[in-house]
Amino acid sequence: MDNTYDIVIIGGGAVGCAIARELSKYRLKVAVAEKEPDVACGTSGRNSAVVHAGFNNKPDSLMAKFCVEGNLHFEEYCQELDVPYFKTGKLLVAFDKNDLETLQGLYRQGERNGCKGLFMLTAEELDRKAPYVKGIGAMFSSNTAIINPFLYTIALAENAHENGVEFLFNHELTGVNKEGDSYKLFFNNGLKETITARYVINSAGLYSDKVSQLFGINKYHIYPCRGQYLILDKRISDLIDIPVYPAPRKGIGGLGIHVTPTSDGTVILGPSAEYIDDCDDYESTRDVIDRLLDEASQLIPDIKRKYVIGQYTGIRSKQAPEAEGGFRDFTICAEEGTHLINLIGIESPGLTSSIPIARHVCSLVNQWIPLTETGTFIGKRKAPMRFRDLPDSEKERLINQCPEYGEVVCRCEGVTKKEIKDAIENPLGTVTIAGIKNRTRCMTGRCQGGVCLANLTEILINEYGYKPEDIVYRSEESKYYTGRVK
Amino acid sequence: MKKIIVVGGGAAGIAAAQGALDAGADSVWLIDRNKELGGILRQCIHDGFGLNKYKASMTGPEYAVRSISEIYDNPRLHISRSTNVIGVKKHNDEYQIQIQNSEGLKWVGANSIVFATGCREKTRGMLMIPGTRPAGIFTAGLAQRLVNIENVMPGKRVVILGSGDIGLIMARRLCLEGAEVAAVIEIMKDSGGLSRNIRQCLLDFDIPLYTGHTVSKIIGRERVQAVEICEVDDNLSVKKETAQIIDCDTLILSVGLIPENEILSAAGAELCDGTENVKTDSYLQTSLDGVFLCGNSRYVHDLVDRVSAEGYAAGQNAALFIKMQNLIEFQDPVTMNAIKGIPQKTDIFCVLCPNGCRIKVDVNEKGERNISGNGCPKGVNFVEQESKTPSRIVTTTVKGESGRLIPVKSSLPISLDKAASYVKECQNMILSKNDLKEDRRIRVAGFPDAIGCYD
Repeated sequence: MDNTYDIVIIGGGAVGCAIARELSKYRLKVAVAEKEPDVACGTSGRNSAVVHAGFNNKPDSLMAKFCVEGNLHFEEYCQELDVPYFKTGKLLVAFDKNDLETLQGLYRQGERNGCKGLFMLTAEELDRKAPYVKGIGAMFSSNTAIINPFLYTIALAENAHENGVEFLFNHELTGVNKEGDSYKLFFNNGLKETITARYVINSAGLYSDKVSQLFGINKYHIYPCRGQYLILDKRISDLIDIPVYPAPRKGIGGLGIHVTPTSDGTVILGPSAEYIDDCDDYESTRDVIDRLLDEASQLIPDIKRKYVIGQYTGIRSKQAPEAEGGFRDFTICAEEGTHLINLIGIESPGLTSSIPIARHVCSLVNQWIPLTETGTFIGKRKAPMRFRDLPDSEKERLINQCPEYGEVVCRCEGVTKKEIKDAIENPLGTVTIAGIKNRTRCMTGRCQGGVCLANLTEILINEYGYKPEDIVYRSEESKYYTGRVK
Repeated sequence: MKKIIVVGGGAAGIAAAQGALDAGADSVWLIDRNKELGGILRQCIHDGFGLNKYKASMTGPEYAVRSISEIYDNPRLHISRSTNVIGVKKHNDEYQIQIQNSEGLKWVGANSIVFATGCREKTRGMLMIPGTRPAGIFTAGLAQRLVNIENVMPGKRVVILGSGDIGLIMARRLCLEGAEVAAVIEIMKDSGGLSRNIRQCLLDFDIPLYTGHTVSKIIGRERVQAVEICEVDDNLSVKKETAQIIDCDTLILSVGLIPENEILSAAGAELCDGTENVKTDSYLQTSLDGVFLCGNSRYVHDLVDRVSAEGYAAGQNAALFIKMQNLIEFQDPVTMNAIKGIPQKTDIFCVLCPNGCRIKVDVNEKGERNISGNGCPKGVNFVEQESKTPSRIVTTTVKGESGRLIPVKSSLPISLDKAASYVKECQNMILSKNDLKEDRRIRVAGFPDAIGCYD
């Protein structure tokens, strides 16, 4: 096997996959090295899933520029990638005069950044738009949208793969040797294999500082900042149809605890902002859970404890420590005297900015290797069918064509056996329970896998020949079962 | 011809179909989402079902097979398996039910419907237990299905949160299959499980029960490595200073069941105030005319026999409804009189049936024993046996040639200290077609025969 690549991207998050897809347009041999067994295992899949408008970011920053650009085109991206996109708009609610001033400041900042679709609302207008929120005024951003960040990242990765990019899962970069004009990359995947890369793009998110250090560049430091979320049952989604944020308060290092409908019909609330020491510490804590519920119910009184069905946690890769208020612009640069492009501190609005960032990275690559298009790039991707979203006539047609569409595996979310098999047979070739969950929504409903995990297990064992002990949740270490009973 | 559709083929649905047929319904259609009828009974391989209905102590699968056999050949009954009911709507004076299976998606008509959709389990998410989200967390019913039907072992060292009966039953089951149950944790001061189950599932196996405690944190990034448990105060809030760590690779949650009636409530059935339960009248009819509700989807029952009785009544009323005859009133039985909670050291709990009598043995000055508290003469024998060699009917599974697990129970009580080796013996057996005899008896080397349950 030829293990030499023109470009190796470290990290299979939304940004890494977007870069992979952009680069797949050109005559380059590209690979993505990801330490986990799937894409979107880190921050990309653990956020508010909001396509931001760009009013929150400092004028003239990369964040503002890429976010506004990303927002403007996000619907096209989603159409091309065949992933759901819902332009819900977003409300920022003022509860006192200071909040109103903050919102006016944001409005002006947004205009400066080139955001469209911003409106200041009076209390009455707010009441008409979202009667469940009690504020004295609000800013409405009509171009804010929600997506499913797993499906988006998976779509980018699959499309990149269709266009020739290789995905190397379970490849955690542990060492780099400079050899002539190239790098020899070492991984701790137990295979003792190395690959050679002419150029490396560091899109390692929370670990981007450490990856940079492997190349001898020690000037970056990531301050992990944890955000906990709670997931609410669909029953409340009839009520909440638009993301609701409080007017931001200074120094919290985030956007404040907000309530957001998801593209899958649930509602999420969060995130907290806790500076922690460990980039892998996804623990939730009782104090924060209580505070989330408290603050969310201040925002929307109808939110009750009994609606909670699940929780998740994400970690922001911040470049600025808590003492500095947490905000610093993205760092995206080709490091002098190296063949390394560093992307450091890609936190919110990284998801919205992912494709503009990827295009920017291409322009940096172009300064090293003049890019020529392959001419064969196909950007249009076809996603597996999402049965439950189809009209009845179409459902009937599909079942006639493939009876496995008729078999319901996950009842809460209406996921069929065919969709499960599509997810197991995904083009990236990764099979984990979390991967199936993220691709299909199986196990994410109100039973949280109480019924469908057994169904999934049965399919993996009986139809794909898995041994129970080979079924993993997220990684090799997260085995679901210890073996057969007998 | 007027039609009745029964949604759900567990204990309640099977009984509802029977009730409707017995009341003279022309056409009853029983729809179930699983490949086999029987619902949750299929995975409840333990003994103790059927004392009211069949006057015999049966395993869940035995109870299911017997109930199904009573209606199976009825020409007025139509059964659809592997079929999901997606929705219900009223169309003129009949109901339309949308069903999905591998043959298609269609709307079918019914003049009356009985919902018998069971319940689902509360999850970790609903409890909001803090900590990590690793592999190795299961609800008890899921673990039960994995062990008893899917032949998959969830873990080796287990902590169970919740001492309700399902949690207790799973503690024993996992123990017998070779796992270590490190602890059962109960947030209340006393267990809500039956005393006889605490006796035969925990005390028999020396499994520690921590009452007034809860799991305050889950530890382990990829797979569960431990749980932190804490005492709780009178408001059930965690007392942080009491934290202790229990190493384990699995956490099983047995923290409550919720009636499952999304379809019914989506169809517009009224709910009881302040709950998610669907309102029924004394005829088991919901606010939708001709739509009846029974079993655990009405409320969570403690005895399957009662589920069957209620299902039967609901089916009967569905038949009377379409014939426009007077419906029969259904009286909910009083709460089960079986004794719940942790037994005193001196208590002897008879485990021969779900009544679980608390038997008192008094010895007078002359050394004569006076046995009281037993509901039937069997209790006396039980005490005798218990004082000599405590023995239990042991239930487990045996692997069939096809790989499928066949539930079995010992034909006679086995002394407690040999229960584990009996189960181990069964673990190593593979049952071939020739072994499947008329009398369902399976030879287990060195032990009483096992009685298999297969269709």
